[in-house]
Amino acid sequence: MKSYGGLIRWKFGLPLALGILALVLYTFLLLDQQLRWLMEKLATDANGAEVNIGSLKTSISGLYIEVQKVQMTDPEAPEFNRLEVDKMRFDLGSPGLLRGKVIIEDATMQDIQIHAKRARPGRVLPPPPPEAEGLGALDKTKDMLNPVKDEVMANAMNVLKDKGLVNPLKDINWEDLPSRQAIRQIEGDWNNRQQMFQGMIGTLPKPADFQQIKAEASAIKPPDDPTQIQATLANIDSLKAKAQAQYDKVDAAAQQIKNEGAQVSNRIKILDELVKQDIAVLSQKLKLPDLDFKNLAEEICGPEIKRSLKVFEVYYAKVKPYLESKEKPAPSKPLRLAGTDVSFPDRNGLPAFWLKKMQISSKETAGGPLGDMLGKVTDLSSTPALVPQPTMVELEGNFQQLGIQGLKAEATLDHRKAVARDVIQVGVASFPVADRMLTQSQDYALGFYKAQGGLNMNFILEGDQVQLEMNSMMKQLSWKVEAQSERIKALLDSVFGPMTEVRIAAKAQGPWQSLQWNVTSNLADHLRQALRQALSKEIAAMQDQLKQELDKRMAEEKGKLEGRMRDQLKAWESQLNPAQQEAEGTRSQIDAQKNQLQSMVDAKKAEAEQKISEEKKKQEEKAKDQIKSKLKIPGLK
Amino acid sequence: MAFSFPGRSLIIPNGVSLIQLVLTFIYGSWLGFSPGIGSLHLVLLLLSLCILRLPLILLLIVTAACWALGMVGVDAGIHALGLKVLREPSLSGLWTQMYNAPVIPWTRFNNSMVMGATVLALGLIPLWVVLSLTLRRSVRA
Repeated sequence: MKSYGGLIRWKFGLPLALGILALVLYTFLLLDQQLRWLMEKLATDANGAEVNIGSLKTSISGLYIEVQKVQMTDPEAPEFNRLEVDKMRFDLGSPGLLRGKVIIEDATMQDIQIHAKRARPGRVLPPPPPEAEGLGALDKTKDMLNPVKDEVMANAMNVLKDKGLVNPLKDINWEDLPSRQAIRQIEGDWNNRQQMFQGMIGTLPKPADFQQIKAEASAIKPPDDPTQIQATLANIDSLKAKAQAQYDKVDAAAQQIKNEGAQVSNRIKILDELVKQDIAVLSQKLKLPDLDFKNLAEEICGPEIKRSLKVFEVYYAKVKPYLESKEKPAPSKPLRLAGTDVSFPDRNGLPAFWLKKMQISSKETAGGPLGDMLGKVTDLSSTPALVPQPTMVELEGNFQQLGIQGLKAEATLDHRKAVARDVIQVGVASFPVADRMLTQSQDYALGFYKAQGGLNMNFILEGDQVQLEMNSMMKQLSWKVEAQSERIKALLDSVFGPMTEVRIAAKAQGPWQSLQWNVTSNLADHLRQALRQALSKEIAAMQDQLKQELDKRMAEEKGKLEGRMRDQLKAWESQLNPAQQEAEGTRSQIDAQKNQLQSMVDAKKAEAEQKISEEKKKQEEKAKDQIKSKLKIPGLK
Repeated sequence: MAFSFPGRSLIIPNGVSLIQLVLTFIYGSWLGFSPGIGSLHLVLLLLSLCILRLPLILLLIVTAACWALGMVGVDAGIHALGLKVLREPSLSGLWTQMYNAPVIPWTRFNNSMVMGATVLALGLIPLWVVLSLTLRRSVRA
């Protein structure tokens, strides 16, 4: 058999040279393209909309990557770029590269534009699924900012629009009111008590029982024989105790019924208190606006606050997972499982990615599109615990052409310890706002054609606890007020016409899922005041109407209920009265008998004592005479 | 039993040695079970084919078969195996040294799929030996 040949190709020079040549060709011809494609994909995922990279050049000898013309599409306005950077350069460190880590020793970002028009609209990615950690929570937060949307103002507008509610009483279901429910409860409770009392009265001694005791007492006659007196007295005492016990039962029941009578008044009084609750419930059902307008600032300013926070929210949700030092499954690949990268960080080791320093600079040219920017990013890493300093971002500048002045952002993202602490401050001294709607509903729309805005935001995240503060100001306002009803339009015009400045202050704290918001605004204050003035009379009139109706209904219900209870109490009292009278009579008769017997005993006793005394005296006299006869004393007669 | 079918000598050349067959199975399974070729050891493995004389068509068939096995669900097992090895406490010192050493991290050994594929390809050596012996005997017969 012909041999296949040995394991080693001793003439391997040519194939090996071909293999190496293939690698070299790949590096020079395809590596840059592939890296550009990869970076575009990653950046597009992070941005939520198409990111284009004009060119990417890697230098293996110089160990750097140079990127030009980076365009990040604005997901909300795909025909514009959110950010456009002309040139970026990343100098890679060789020790890191040898270890398979991307350690960027120095980077620069030059010539920045924002809101630049794109040659063609960028592709926008579909929103991430709601269960995605972080962003989902942020979405929830946005909902919680405005929990009563379309209620406060909508109700007020409803009243203003209809010039009051026509016949508000016609559709009310009175049975659902708290006072009706309380009446039903009292009735149910009374039925139970009725059963209890009837059972108790059934077991009480009847008049016949007392009459029998009386008969037994009458049968006892005073004895002729004095020795029988004590026994007779004992019999009477025993009857008296029996009568007393029966009497106590009747008396306790009578007392209980009397107390029940007092409690009926208390129960009925509670119903009077419930009328206020009835009015509140009815006001809610009839959608009468609450003149406190507690949530007005949130409702009117909520969209504006959300708009200001949105860029931060989306970016933070995207960046946060990369700042956390935990193992993450690699993004799924269509064909094969990508596996999970397990980190084995050494205390003195290097993170997989570390941007040590990036300088940001952009110089405005006269009439040119570039912004005037200066800033730096330091120590951005995939494993913050291995980096000595927290991630710091500083940025300030102006975009004269867009009218943006005094842009300043500072962030300290410290994820080196178990509990991360991020502090982010963003401020813009002045920026133009054009054609923006603050709030829009069926009845009215409020916004402005143009304004000059200012914004300051402070954000602190420690663990899962957030503290957020936002102050926004808009000046030189040109209002846009639209309303279907003339009355509403006149009201809104009168409020906003003279206003040239709007200030919104929002504070929030707590965990992401349940942020507690506190929003104040002079806009809401003015509107609240105007609405109160316009609505207070109509609301008061409607509430009076409700109160009168409720009082009338309550008086009827109360009368019926109280009458029923009092009648029942009277019936029970009349049931108990004969027994009570009999008990009283029996007790009096036994007492009289006992008294009679006692006086008899007393008389007999006095008579006996008299006899004893006389007998004693006689015996003394007799003894004295005997002594005299025995002793003859001279001179004693 | 004779092992014969049209083109058999192209797939399993006459006179191929046992070590060549075993290495073909190891290379094929390693390449096939790995999720991609973007790691240093696989590039070196491919380059080594310029030096080693292996039956390339058989190598392609084994690679494709293992790739297909991965696609039909063996991936999950490879991933679990890789994770188990990487998270083995007694090996953590070795992995930490390798992770922070120069060049080695380019092998992406810390990826569960890469590690799982490596362990599986090498762990199946006894099977590859038995299979190679059987094939060789059949070819000779």
